[in-house]
Amino acid sequence: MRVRFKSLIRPAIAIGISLAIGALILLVAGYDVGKAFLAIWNASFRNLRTITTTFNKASPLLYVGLAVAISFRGNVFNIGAEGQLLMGAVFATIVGLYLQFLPGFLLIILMLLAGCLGGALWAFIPGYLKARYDVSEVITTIMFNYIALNFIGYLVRGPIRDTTQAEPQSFAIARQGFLPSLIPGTPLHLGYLLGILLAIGLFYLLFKTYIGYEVRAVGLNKNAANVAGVNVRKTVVGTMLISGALAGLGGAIELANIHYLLEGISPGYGFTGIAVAILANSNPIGVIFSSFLFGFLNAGATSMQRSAGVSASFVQIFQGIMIIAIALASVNKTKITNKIKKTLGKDKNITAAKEVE
Amino acid sequence: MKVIELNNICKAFGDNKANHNVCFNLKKGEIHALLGENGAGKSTLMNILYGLYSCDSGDIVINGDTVEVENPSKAIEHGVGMVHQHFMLVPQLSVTQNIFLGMKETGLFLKMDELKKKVAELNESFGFNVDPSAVIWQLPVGVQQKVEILKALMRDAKILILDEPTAVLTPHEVKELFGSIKKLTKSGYSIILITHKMEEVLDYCDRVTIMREGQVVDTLLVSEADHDILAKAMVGRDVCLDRIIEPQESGEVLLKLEGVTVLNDKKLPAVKNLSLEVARGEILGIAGVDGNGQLELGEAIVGLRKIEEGTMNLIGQNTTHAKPRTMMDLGMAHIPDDRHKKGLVLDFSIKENLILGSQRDEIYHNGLLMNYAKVKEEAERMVEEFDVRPRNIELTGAMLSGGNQQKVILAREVSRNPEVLIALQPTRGLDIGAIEFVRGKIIEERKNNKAVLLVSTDLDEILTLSDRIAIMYKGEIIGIVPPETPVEEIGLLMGGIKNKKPKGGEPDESQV
Repeated sequence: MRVRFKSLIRPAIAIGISLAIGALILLVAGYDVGKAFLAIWNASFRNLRTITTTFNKASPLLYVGLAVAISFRGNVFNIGAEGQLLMGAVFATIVGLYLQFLPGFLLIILMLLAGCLGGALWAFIPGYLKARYDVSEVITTIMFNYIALNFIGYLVRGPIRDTTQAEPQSFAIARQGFLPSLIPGTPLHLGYLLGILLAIGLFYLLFKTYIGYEVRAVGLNKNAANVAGVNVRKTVVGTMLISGALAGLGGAIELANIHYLLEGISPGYGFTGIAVAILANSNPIGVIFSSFLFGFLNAGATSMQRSAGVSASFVQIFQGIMIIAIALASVNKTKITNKIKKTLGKDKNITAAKEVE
Repeated sequence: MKVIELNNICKAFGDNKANHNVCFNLKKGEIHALLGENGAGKSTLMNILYGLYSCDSGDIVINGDTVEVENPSKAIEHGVGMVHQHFMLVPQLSVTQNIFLGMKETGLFLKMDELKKKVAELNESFGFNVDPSAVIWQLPVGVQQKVEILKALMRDAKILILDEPTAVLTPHEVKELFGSIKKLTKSGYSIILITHKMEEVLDYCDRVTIMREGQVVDTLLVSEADHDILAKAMVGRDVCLDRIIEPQESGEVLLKLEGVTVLNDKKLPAVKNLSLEVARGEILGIAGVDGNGQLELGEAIVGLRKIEEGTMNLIGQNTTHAKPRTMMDLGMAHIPDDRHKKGLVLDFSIKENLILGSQRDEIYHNGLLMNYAKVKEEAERMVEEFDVRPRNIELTGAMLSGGNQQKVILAREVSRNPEVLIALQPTRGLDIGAIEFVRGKIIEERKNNKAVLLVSTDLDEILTLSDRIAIMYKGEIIGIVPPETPVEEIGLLMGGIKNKKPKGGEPDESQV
């Protein structure tokens, strides 16, 4: 448990540093720092309605964050969570549109399963290519993102377009397929709770089962794992399947949340998911918090623009700083302390040492 | 005359005192060995002299002047050059290009012919015999080593620090290297040799400083030292690396290869039509100069490399195309040749490393969930039995010294209670205390009536441990001899010379 707690220190420092730098940028640009931060805070924590909205927005990030986290643990760089999420949404849409006769809970379960299937399928191909032919998964998954996006473009302009709408989008799925709310009257839906349960489950899978042991062994040293009789190819493909299924499930839930398919269903959730996973040090439990943090910032962006006049894209700058800070915080500690010692020893440039702290 | 004096050098990394009040001096024209086990502080001390680390206290005197060595370029300015254990050469560039890389004296426009001539001159004066136009990656490691030395010489280094220069060399290359070094000292160069091999010290050096646990134990004239004195000073107790194998009847054959052919990474045959047998209760040692197919043979036997032709039989089962998992399940254990790459997951804890490969064994899990309480219990038993230090099973593998890493691997493999043990270079790079331990455990396996196949390029090791010695040359077993065979004869075989058939044209059909 001591180790788990320790892994929280790094992100905490990173967030602290980025808060400071963010405040500095706002200050230099002549904004009211307190007002801007308060606006972000209030956008989420004003009342039950706003906090549940934030949970709602964090939901897809939670899923893709988990998807990317497990792939990182297995040393597979799944940059394709975006495409897998989109394919999950597509599969769920098709179930929601064509199996309208099913009763509610059955339809929802089928939509979610279809989402898993869609995402897993979309991840399987790059995973297999990597395992079998050593094709870089970074390239294939990025390419698969575009294919998925354009596939949706085709669907919502052609076969399943709702012609009564001006913008290209699909018909709405069957009413009984809408995700039920956890607290009636709020946007907090069942999918978020499922996501948290999955995060806990994934934590157990990774750290308490021999499957997770093998995933991590392959991730850290696939040669040694191979020598020790672990089937590396199978493990890599398996990791990608789980990763894709999680992202696809996130897509299906988002679809069941907004009820129809459109090209803009994901404003780049899959990519934000990479940041979410990195901030959480690829720890599934950490992803619960980092995805909430990102959702919280996104929810506050427009509110900050309204009340403090700061452009909503400042939130993205802020998120960027956070990633750089976490990357810096994970630089080999001895390297940093050595450098500090050396710098201090020579009595010059103490500020440089402060920067790396 | 003393060219270097290091006075009361102290250096700590956290709580670990890597150097504590270390004093060392180097006389002009001598070869001075810095002897000690891994982690004794030899490399730390030399890295301080070379400006890679700064010391916490103490001073450095070079040629009578107290100097500050802040970085390697300062060291070079003072005439100190260092050749690292891991070469720092650009493989795609030529010898000359590598030597002059980073030197400002070449000017903006390179006159390659002139530079080559300079290299050739230097070459000649010390008998280095390196082709200035050769491209690095095509050269054997022994020659690459010389390029590193030439690099230092070209930068006018008069004092050379050689960090374990013989670790990757064949016995012949070692001889040649020391021949060149002797010539250097005669021309007024001074050499510091970092090593943990006592033979090198006794055979080639003038003085020796022995370090243990960050402190200097003693500085002696080599003429006054012998094997036992050095070993005791290094380890702090008496060690025995002599042959202590008792004669023993071997039992049934457990591992059998017939006509096996294996390809290397370049898809060329590395093992050709090779046959061998290893029986219960014996150690078969495979000797040979590095690169004669021993490694590929070992990898094929444990299932990491494909057997193209021929058959392999393990405990009565045909395992010609079996995967590592199958071999393990049949009762094979494997000490890989590369601890870091193949033996350990360095970022895993010791505990987790100790069950690598056994993670699916029933004792370690209930259903899907791992039984980490049991893992911990077993891990604690293993670190106790195999004397892994420190005893903390939560540390990561990367935090251990080489010897302790090897003990973790050994503990894991032996604890599986295998029938056949494949040990590939089991003591490479280890210090003498760890070597003694690892060899002891291998002998114990033999005593427990297991079949052991030992592959080692260290001929002493083969002679000390084996019941039979198979010598590999160019992918074939050129002869199998008893351990009493004169070393000279084995040496000739390692060079491919058979006394009866001088150059055998036919593939060797060894009766193993």
